[in-house]
Amino acid sequence: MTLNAWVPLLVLCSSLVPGLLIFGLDESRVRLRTRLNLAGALTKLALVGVMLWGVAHGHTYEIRITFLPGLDLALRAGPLALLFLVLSSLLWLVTTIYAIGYLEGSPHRSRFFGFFSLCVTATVGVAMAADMLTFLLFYEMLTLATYPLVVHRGTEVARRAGQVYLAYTIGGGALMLLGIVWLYTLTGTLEFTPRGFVSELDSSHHPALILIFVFLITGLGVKAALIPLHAWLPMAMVAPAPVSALLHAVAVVKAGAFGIVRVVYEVFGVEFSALLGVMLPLAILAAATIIYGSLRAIFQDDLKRRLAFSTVSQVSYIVLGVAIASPIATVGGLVHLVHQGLMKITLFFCAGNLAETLGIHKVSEMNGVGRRMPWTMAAFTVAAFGMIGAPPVAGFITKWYLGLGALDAGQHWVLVVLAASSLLNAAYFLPILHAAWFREPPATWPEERDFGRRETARALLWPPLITALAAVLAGLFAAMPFSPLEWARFIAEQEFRRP
Amino acid sequence: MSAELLQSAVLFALVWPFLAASLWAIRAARPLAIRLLPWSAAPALAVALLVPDLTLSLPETLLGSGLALDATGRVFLATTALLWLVAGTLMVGRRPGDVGERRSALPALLAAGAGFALALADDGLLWFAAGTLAGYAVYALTLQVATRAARTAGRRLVILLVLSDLLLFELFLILAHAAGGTSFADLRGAVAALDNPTFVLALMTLGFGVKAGVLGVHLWLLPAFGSTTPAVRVALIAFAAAAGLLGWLRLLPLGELSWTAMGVALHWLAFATAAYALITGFSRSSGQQALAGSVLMALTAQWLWALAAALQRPESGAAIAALLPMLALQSGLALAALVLLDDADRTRHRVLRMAMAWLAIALVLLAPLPIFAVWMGAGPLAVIDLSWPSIAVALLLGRLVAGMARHEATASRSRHPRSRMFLGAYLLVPALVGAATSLLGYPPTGLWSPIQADSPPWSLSSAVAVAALVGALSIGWLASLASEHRPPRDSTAWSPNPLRSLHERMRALRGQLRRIVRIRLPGWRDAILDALAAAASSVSVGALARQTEARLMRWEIALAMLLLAGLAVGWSAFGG
Repeated sequence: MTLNAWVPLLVLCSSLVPGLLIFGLDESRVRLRTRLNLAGALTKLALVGVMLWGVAHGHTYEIRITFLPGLDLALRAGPLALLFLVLSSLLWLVTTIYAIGYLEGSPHRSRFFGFFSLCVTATVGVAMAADMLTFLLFYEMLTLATYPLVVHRGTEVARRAGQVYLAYTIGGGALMLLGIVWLYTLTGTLEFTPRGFVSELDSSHHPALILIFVFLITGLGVKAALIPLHAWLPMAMVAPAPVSALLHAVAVVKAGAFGIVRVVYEVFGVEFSALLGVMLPLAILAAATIIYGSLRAIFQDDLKRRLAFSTVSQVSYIVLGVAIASPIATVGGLVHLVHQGLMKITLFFCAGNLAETLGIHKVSEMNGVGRRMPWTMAAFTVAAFGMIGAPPVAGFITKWYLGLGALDAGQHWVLVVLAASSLLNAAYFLPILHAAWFREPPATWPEERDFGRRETARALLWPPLITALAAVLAGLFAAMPFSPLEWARFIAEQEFRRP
Repeated sequence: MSAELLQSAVLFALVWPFLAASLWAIRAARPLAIRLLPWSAAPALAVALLVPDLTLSLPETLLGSGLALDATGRVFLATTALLWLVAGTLMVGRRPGDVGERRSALPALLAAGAGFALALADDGLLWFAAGTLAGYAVYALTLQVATRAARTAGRRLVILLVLSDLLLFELFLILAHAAGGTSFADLRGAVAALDNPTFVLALMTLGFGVKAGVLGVHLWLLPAFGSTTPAVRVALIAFAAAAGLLGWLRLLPLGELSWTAMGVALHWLAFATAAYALITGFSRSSGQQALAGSVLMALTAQWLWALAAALQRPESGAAIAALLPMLALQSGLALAALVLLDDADRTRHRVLRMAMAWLAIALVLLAPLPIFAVWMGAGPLAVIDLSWPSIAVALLLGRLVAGMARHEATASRSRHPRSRMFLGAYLLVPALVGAATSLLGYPPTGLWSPIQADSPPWSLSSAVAVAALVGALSIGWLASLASEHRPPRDSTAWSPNPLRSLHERMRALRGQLRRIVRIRLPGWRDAILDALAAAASSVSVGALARQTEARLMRWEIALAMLLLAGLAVGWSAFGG
């Protein structure tokens, strides 16, 4: 086994080992826990950086471990996996810093950070899975690792949200398992393959393949929050802000969207999916989710719920990009995996800052908050404009490529969806910005904490600033080498290259 | 000078306001950022005046962008830079210590930088990005004045900005898809190659029209002008020119294609916009500031008129396209001069105020000259061929100047409802006459016979256009009546007799004109002596610099800069 083969395993272990160690730590060992967290996150980032460089130069990173007769735990870091890996490892580092600041002085931190690390381990496993079975294993591990984080506060509302979350995600996982087993009986393999592995089947299997596609997409659609399977996501907002950020930008929702990308590209193949006639319904489902999520977001006064419905809408851009089935739209969908992560994590960090510093949980309480917390609201503003699709923030690049791809594929109706979505995004983000920057602040805030001359704690302030800056840079310098856009182009070239 | 150095200078001029804005991040450096505000436009102005034509590729920015300093961009860069020099100076210097003004420094720097990027951008995406940034920065500036009217203006502006950006996004997307690139040359080529350009032109008209104040999507303009400070009004003019007017010029291949139907539609839109501006300008009772907004609308109408002419008569399109930037520069400067004069009663120097008033009038007279030059080149004209928009501009500017000469705070002439109705009806008559002549075989193009060689027969499109015109006029008229029920300030001044009211108004107008004519320069010797004494007292370099800066922060100096620049441009265009 070469050294390269060990790297994927090391990437997994870089969060798994610190996570297991942290479980065993006493609550009072704050410094050691922080060091373990940061060391794990930095190690993972460095390893992913190595793999990124290697894959760009034609190296292969793959490992197989047999755990049942005929069934392997297979990890491979291809270009698509690396897109997700870079995102999750980068944002894990930032979220860890944020969580350290956010949970300072609160109970059960060892439990929290232990599951936090397991959650990232599962996400990394989902990203690097080389076949459907490995994917399912890590996908389910992600469900189980996230549940304790959702119910972390231990309140009745949190427990209820956790139950709903489990019901949805385990149900989705069961459907996926059904689809995977059926697929295995038909094809005898579950290996992810560029341009898919089911197209060789006889046309008499097409009805069965359509059903399998529906099972898989439904199972994945739960985590990707496609309507009508999205209800768990707004409920899960009861979790602490770092968990919300993790759910929306790094792990759970993204794992669902990433799974859909893999199923379409590396199980069925884009062309074969189009032949089966499943792409248009998928595109329509994604478009409906985009519009529905935005419409629901407008009427939410609770800030985190508004952001949650925004996620329901935004993540479906990824699915839409895949379902349009043109190379350019694929770039738009894939790059949104990263762009949405950067922007949405910024928004959740900011929401957390407002809650922790001033006790603000509702949009109606945000009048004049820009004067009290200018940096936090500056980051929020950048991310909100990105979500609307205003240039030069990253969201614009996504919408540009989706629009071009739709024109390329002759699906002009997508332009209407994009325009309507941007309009609705503006309708639920701009009132927040207006209230924050241009309305008079109240005499007192709901629960203000004193941080001296600073607007909030440093550990809470730097993460949103870093991610907001990254969202701007990802858009402004989209054409730079190794930018998310260039990497997405690289993936699309591979996917649409003729064999 | 080497090409690299010149390219660096252009890049620096673009980045400089953003660098100054970035100082805002450091609390201790914020006073410095505020002090840099007036100077944020200086490098851009220097580049516009000194650097020869060049292009600069920025392959890693957005999806591969570029900058270009060409003849059109140069004029718009000079206009934007001049206006921002003035606006920045006023923002910092008008009311030192005013929290609202100081807080506006950051959006002002962003808006200035975005304005320069609009003038220098060589591709659609960079231009779109700059336009979006400029729009939201101007929105923030509009809301710095915490009044109800400003909030209304801001709310309208932001809604229209969102719609405008959506339409422009779709426009650039469609053109980029057709062209296979995003450079303006590619996009113009795509426009020229379109089989049916109606949809694209509609997107263009509405998208750019929001920012320029075209009728129907102008709703933000008059409240914004009516509720903001003079400095922000100057910034609004710069925004309307760079983000609105320039867009058409960058995307339309004027001189290369003939779109008669589109030209006719634009003619009608220009006609309607000018009529609306005229009616609201003369009938509003909300004050001089809003009247300045009407002037801007009328100037936009004049611009549309020229575009329409170029589309209908491609052989003169290139000449018109060459003159349009000049029109933007002169019109922008003239309007800015008037906006500043509106604030003239704050000054202690009556002499200076009067001098400025006269010079502003000179600028106003210079403003429409480029469009007249187009007419001269177009051949002999019938009397009716005098452009409605130009007439509207002249009338509104005259109205504005007259109001300023009286130092009035509000346009009291139109306080009485009956007279407003009378004025509205009076304006409606010539419009209906024009419409009727159009329907009877001299459709809208009949008004522009030199432009349109063959008058097309009566058509559905001309009927629709006439209906649109009548609708626009009616809306304008109704808008003028909207405040009719407001009780007059002085009940004794209210006259039920419209003819008597008109007589009184005519007498008042005569009195105002006489007052303007009688303006003299009393006390000019004192002013010169004061200036000499002040110069003698500033012996040290530091004191001189401080005093210069203090002078630059005065509106009179800002106005003088505008006037000098306008006169220089006028001289170079028509005499030099």
